[in-house]
Amino acid sequence: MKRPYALIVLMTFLGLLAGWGAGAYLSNAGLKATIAAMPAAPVVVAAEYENKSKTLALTFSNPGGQPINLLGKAIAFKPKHGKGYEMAFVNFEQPLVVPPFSVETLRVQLKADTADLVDGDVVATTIQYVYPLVPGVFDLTYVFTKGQPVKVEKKVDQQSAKQ
Amino acid sequence: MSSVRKHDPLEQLLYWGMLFAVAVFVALLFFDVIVRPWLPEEVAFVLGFALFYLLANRLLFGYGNLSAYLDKIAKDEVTDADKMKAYEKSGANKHGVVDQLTHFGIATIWLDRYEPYRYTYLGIYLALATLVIVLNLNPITGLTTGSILEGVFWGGTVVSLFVLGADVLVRWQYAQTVVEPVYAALAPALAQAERAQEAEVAPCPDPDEPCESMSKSEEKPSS
Repeated sequence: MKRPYALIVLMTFLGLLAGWGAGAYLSNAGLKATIAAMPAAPVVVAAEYENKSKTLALTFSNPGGQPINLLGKAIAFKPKHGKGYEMAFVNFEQPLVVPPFSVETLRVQLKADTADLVDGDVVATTIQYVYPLVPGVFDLTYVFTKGQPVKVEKKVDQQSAKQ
Repeated sequence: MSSVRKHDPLEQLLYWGMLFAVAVFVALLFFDVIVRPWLPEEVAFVLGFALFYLLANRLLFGYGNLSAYLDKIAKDEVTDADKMKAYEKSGANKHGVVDQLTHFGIATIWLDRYEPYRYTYLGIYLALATLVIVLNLNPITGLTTGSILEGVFWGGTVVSLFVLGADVLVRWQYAQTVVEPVYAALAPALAQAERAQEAEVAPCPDPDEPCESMSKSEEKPSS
């Protein structure tokens, strides 16, 4: 009696492929759900100061799966020469929501009589934020120095300086 | 259709059981019992498996019974009761009386009977596969609709694997037990018929014209 060995080999191969595909799909679904449930700290990925409107634009990245609500801000302005000032913490009229896995830009208005920033002037911004499903309020302070490149570029400079 | 077909109790039980399970599952989904602890992708996988099983039920049982029948024919163990059972299940009672049909004839009619079911199943499965691929080509729909339909596709793939296995097994058995003996038996007669056809007088090429060159065409056989 002949036996269908070719069919057995073929169906075993196709079964392995189908099991691989279905298993990968189901475990990926679980992984996606796990990542989507994890809160992550916001990261300032870009900062730019406009002398004309006296605003500091901070771009927040949310690398996690839960939205981040930015509640309010406090500012400390410290020029290289002369006298600086501090602005007390103020809640935003509406919390700024940074959606999961995306970026959002926050514009921070400095005092109207602030002199034009020169290289070396420092604006330290403290942001308060919460997660919708996590109890607790968190702080983030970003120190912006005029004329100093963003941290990522600075790192690259250091590496190239070493070489 | 059911009037000419002998029902298999196990087949009926599995079909209605699976249909009942799907109904219960969908009712639980409706009342939000399953969605909370289950991932939507897992729900899609289970539903895809169940729906494609319902579609494949007749194919699986039909090919299973036909495979057993062909196995008995190959081992020469087939009884009159087996032949009667196959005659009723195969739908061969639409083609003739049981005494007029051979085992080979019943097996051929039986295999042909599942062609509509087979192509319906294949068409629905390939349409779903195409839809899933097209939705996943778009990054936005790939995250929502494509991701869920992919679960239905993978659930159906598990069933399709068994359907494909039964299908190719039955076709292999059919080629071994029916096609080969029939061709072996017919081979001398076929060769004789071909020789007779070659020896035959070639017909007149144009019936409107009178056959003047009859004697010429007789000498060289036309193709």
